[in-house]
Amino acid sequence: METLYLGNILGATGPTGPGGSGSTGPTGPQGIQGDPGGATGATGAEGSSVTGATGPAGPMGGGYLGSITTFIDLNDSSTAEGQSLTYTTDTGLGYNVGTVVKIFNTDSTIPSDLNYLIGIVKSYSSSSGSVTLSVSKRVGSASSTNNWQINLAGEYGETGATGPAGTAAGVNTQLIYNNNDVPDGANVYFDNQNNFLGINADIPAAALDVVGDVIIRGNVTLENGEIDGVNSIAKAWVNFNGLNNTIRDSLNVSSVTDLGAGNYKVNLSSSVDNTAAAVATAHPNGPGLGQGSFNRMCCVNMNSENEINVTVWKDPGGLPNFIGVLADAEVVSVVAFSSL
Amino acid sequence: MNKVIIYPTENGGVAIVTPSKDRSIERVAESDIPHDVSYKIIDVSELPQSREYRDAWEYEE
Repeated sequence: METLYLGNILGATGPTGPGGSGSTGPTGPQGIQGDPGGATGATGAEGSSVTGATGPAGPMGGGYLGSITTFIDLNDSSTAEGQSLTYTTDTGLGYNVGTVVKIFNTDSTIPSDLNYLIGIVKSYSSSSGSVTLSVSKRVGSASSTNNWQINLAGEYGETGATGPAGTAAGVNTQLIYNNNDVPDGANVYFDNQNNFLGINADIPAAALDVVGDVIIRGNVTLENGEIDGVNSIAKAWVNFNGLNNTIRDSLNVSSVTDLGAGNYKVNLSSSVDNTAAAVATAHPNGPGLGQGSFNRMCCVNMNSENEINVTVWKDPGGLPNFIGVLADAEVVSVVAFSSL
Repeated sequence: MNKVIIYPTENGGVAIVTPSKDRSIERVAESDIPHDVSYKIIDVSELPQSREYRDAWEYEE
């Protein structure tokens, strides 16, 4: 059994002691490092690359062909180049400022390639169809209320270089040729009213009018026509050798008859008008048949419409008192002119 | 061979006809020989070489 001592019984509480304070203690040691964490994780899977579906088509753009029902007169000053015109055409067209347009007519009586306006759009209202344009080119002089149309056009080209001057008459046209890729005028002229062609003749007076010499390297055939100036063309001629019966050349001569010394007859192929013919003969002075250089004289006579008689005379005594005797000559020539 | 036509003349001589280049001798015989005379077609080489006495030539049948 436990002994209880009365002395150990609690006494009364004593007074409070004086206050005291101690100094701060030293810093404690560093604690141990914490856990560094887990390892880096693996690379994730690549994402999806599938292209999305095509979107829906956009709205239809405006066209360019439109109708104009306004009266248009290509011969009026209001449609002259530089003028500003306003017409009403279809709505919803695609015109913008600066668009080049062409206004033309679809009527067959107004050829669209010969009657039209070229202009540059200054404004266009898609809702009202009002278009204002500046005329840059006007072609033709047609006028109409119906069948005008407007459409896109290209820029009108610049005016080309000035060509060579034409003939003043306006009837005869000088033909142009390519002179090293440069147009040049030839001395060849065409009369488009009469269909006459002139070479060195700017006013041709016949189907072919040539001023200058002509070389024809072939035969010439006259059909149903005559040669103007025919009287100046020999109807027959011949050059023959009176010593050996040979004909050097001839025209319209069928033969030459040797009738004796210095006596010849020229036979014509086609007859001529001997009543108004002019015939001539000649031979050069010179040796005949062993007669040296005696003077000679030729005589000619047209016996009929197809015979010309030629005689050659020598004069042993010489001029002026010619005493002739017939004698052959090496060169005898005869020519005949006639109007028929 | 150059051919010529010969025929007698009215004065007893002989005529010699030479065709031009564009006529045959047969055609010349028809057109340029008097109708009432006889004629011959001969080679020109058959003619006398000298013409000194040309007017004395005679035609032989």
